[in-house]
This record gives sequence, structure tokens and C-alpha cells, in this order.
Amino acid sequence: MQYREYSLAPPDHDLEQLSDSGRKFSPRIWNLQAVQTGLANGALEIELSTKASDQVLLELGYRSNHLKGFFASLERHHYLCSEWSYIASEPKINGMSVSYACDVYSMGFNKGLMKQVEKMRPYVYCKFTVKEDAKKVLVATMHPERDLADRSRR
Amino acid sequence: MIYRKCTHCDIGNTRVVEYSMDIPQGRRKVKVPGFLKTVCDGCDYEYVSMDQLDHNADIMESCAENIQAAVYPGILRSIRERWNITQRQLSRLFGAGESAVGKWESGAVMSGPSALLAQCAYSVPGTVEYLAHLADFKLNRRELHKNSVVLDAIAWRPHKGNFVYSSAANSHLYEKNAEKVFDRVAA
Repeated sequence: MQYREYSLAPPDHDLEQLSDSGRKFSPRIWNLQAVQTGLANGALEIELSTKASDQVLLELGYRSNHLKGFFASLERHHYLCSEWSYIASEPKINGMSVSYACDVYSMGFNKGLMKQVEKMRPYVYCKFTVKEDAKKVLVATMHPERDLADRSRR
Repeated sequence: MIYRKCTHCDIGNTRVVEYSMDIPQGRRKVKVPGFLKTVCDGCDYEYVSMDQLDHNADIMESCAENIQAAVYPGILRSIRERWNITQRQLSRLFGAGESAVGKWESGAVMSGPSALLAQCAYSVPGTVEYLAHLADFKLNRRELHKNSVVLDAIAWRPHKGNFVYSSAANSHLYEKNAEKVFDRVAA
């Protein structure tokens, strides 16, 4: 099963020069079911940017099994948008920052019950990409939805 | 320590490094060392693997259990998830303003006493049940996580007109009484 559902050329400009809406595009890039299958059978591993890791620890109190449970519980209708994003602030290859095509999902998730729970608000906002050659799901951002900023992304 | 090739640039070697994090402690912050991440020597890409995340989560847990008033937003969310309650409901249990827990989970500074109360609710079995009893709030037992340590420790038993906490370890009556005592507290 292909992880990529849709292909798109990266933007010409530095992402810093683009507005929030300028970074967004549609439709979704990654095949959610394929990603979930890959994570379940070990073909894919999750890797967090340090920013996402700090958010996951401080704001969500998650461990690796909670992250896996979150991804396993996602459904297509939890998709919010897709956008170009840097995975971390520093990484540059040949002096150029590398942007990744990310999908953004948002879901109420209870890590105790390990399932989607509608009333568990604020929802968990997760932006990720797949590095197909490295067999990694790279999580760029993961935190409780910040009401105004994140709702406007819908 | 050389770990492996960087997944980002495919050129540099990565190594595991330690770093510190600032953990809220009431109105202050305490710098906690020992967190792990992987850094690429070539492109400076930094990431945290799942093993490292679990190691870092152990440190966070240790802070929550051993440093007075060390409460971060994830603790409050964990309490709510354990009992499957909303921010507003947890605010009520804490006797705080309606939106207090929402603000704390968004990063607002907690006072020392509030942080201590949250720390007890997180770490001391029976605290949330007792707060619910005081607030006349019904916890919905059916929504609790079956394997939660909280369920294992629920044992408020009536003693001379008061509810007395009795741990599973020291009460052979625990299993028999837990159900009806919980129902009494919840009711």
C-alpha cells in the first residue's frame, strides 16, 4: 500500500515568507490507512521533532504507546488540512531549509481509554509527515488545540 | 556516541545528547536534566525517538512524584483522562473557578497550593474520589479505565461516621467493600 496519496512540488519560496494560508494546500498527502497499517506492523516508526516531544511530554503527558494509540484511533474525518512545514527550526541541507508536506489532524483522545473520546477537549492537534525512504512518521507538532489559532485552520 | 545515519539529510552521523527542561513548580520553574534527544552532526536536525520519549516520560513522572508542586499541564489532562471528565468538571472538584483548569492546561501559572492539590489528585489514590464526595459530584465509574491504578485503590470506607481511606494492601475487606463504598461516595 502506498503511503503517499497525492504528490505536490515543494514551494519555491522560503516558508518564512509565506503566510499561514500560503502554506496550506489540499487535498491530503498521506494515506492514513497505510500509515496506520505501517505503524501497526512495524514498517514505520514514529519520530518526534524536539518541539513536538516537549509538547507531548509537558502538555499531553504521553508515552510512546499513547502516540501509537492516537495514530491508530485517527479516522479520515479528523483531517483538518495539509500544509508545508519545517520539521525543526535548524536542519539545513546544503544551506537550504527543507520543507515537508504535512497533514494535520485533530481528535479528542483519551490516553487512559486509548480511544477517541468526543468530549475530551481541547482536541489533540497533530501535524505529521512521512519520510518514506527512512520509514519514519515525523511528527512536527502535537499539542492540545489552541482554540483561536487552530480553529481558524479548519 | 555515534548512533546512526541521519534520517533527515542521510549524510551526517547522529549522536544521543542530554538536555534539560524547565518544569513548572507552582509559580516557579525547576530545571530538570537528563532528557535525551538525537542530534545530527551534519545538518543539526534534532529528534526524539520512541525509546527516548519513554525515558523522558519516566523523568517527568519522577518529577511529578518527587518534587513538591511540580505540576505541568499534562498532569491535569492525565487526571481528566483517568476519570474521563471535562476541564469544567475538574475545576469544580478543585473548588476553583469554572475555567481555572482550562487556563492551567493552557500554560497559566498555578499557585503553589493549587499545584499541590493537583499533585495529590494525580499521585495519591482516593484523592479524586474524596474531592468528588466533597463537591457532591458523581464520578461515572463505567467510564473509568479498567486497568487504572485508581480503580485498584478505591476504598473509602465509613469509619465512625467518616470516610477513611483504606489501601488495597492493608484492607482485606477492600474488594468486598470497594463497590458499595464507591457507590456511596459517588451517590
